[in-house]
Amino acid sequence: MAARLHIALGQFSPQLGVVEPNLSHLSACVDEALARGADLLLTPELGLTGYLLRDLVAEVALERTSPRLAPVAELSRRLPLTLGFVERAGDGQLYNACGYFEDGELRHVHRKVYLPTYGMFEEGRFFARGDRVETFDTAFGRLVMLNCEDIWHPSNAMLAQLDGAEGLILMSAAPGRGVSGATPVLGSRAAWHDILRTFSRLLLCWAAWSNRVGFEDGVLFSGGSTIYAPYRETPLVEAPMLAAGVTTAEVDREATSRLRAGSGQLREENPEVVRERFATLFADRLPEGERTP
Amino acid sequence: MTDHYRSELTLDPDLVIPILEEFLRVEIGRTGLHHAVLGLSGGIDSSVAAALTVRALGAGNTTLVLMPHEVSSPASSADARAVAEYLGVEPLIVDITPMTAGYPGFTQLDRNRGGNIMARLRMIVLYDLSAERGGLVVGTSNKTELLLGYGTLHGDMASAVNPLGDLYKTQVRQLGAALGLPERVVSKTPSADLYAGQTDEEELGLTYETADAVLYRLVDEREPVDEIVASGFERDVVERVREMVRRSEFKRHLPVICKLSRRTVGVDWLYPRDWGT
Repeated sequence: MAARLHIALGQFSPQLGVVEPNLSHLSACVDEALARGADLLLTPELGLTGYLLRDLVAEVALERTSPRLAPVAELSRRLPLTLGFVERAGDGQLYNACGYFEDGELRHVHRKVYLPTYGMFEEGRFFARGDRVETFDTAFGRLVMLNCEDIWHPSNAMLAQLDGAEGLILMSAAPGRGVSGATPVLGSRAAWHDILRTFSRLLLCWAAWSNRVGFEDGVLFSGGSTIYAPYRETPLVEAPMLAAGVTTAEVDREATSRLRAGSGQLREENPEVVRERFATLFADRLPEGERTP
Repeated sequence: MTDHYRSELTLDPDLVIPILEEFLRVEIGRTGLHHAVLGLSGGIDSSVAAALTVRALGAGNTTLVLMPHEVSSPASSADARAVAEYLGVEPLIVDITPMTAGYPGFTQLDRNRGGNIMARLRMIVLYDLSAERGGLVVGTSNKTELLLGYGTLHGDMASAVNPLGDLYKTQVRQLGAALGLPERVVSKTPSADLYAGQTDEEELGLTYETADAVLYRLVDEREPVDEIVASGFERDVVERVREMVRRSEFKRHLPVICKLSRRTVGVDWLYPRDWGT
């Protein structure tokens, strides 16, 4: 195992509702990340298409095997990377998807499980809901990808922990908001940092957040991509709020590994407690055969 | 107003100003244009919008237009000139008196109709200049006005891009001070200046400080009327503000369309404004 993992966070503002023009953002990030010596490039939610798609969702959707994703896979020969896109599944359903590309292949896809549909959000109206959170093995250990709102549901983090995630990748198109009270930073920033710091600490994994910048229909996406590690209180790095660009930091995998081995948190985690309680707590929602009498 | 809500309405200009600058650059730039046109009244809203636009696009890409009428206060024009000078922009002056003179019976109209006509004539001037100069009209309506409906539809409410629409009046003032606008402009009594002696607060029947505090609680905090009253605001004031918001909801929408087909503009034709850019 390499002792260190050099992560690049690529912030950009995709053109809204198109595909090919946004590949240039990705390849520019790959060039910059490689120039900085990065091992892995993380990019934002729906980086291939822009976020506020509404009825455009179907127009930009791609199957996993689409030749239009081939240039992305090709870039991953130079540098493993993540990319957000709209996935058209075999049954025609459309998902807000995060892809992990390594060595010329799309190795893993996470379909957003929690589609925010309240207030300013209306994803549930346009996307189908993902139904699983799975870790996947990479050149940098076992990782998990979550998509924005997914991280606000601790059950997802719990699944990642039980499945042995050493690193948590969070891809977002998170609106920046909250200017009241004379705070020098957006109110939304505090919430994201609280969550990342907490999950990094609880899961004993690094937690990297790649958020986008730019405006769509007046909504600000406030960048600030960052990385937390379980061996540190403060973020390893934080990208600017408004500017596109690549920000990098090195995660100490050995220090992370020592914490994971030395702490009882992971060793003593007992999923049986959860399983048993689930069986009774949600008895009426379980199939007949799985209910506890 | 309690100290809590006074502080909730306080902004850090160093946080907000760069966001609004970037907003103007991005949302104007994505149309392929790099020029902006604003009406400058000498009041705080248009002065702040102009200052933000000059910071975003540069003085050379910002057209500021003074559009006095013979009933306008000379002090307003003087303040507007002072702001333009501070921003390093030579303003255009378009006297709209001859335009109103061309409207039959204008001088006999009541204040409301006359004021609306003046606001809409100014809109015509701004949109024509925006076409001439290849720019967009930058709006100057603040959140207080938008929520209370205190503006003329297709008049001062008309614009392509509005940097102030999510800032209450008292917050716009804070930005004005931070942007270094002339003290007289920051502290003067707000007026639409549509007739002699007019002030916003007299016309609205409440101060902006009260309006903003009540609106913040109703809109941003979603507090019910009873809760706001319980915390010390007069019931009739809170209910009046809420009623003004309700009655003006139409001003915040496109014209209502009768849905006949399976896909209707404004109902289930759902595309982002920034589509393809």
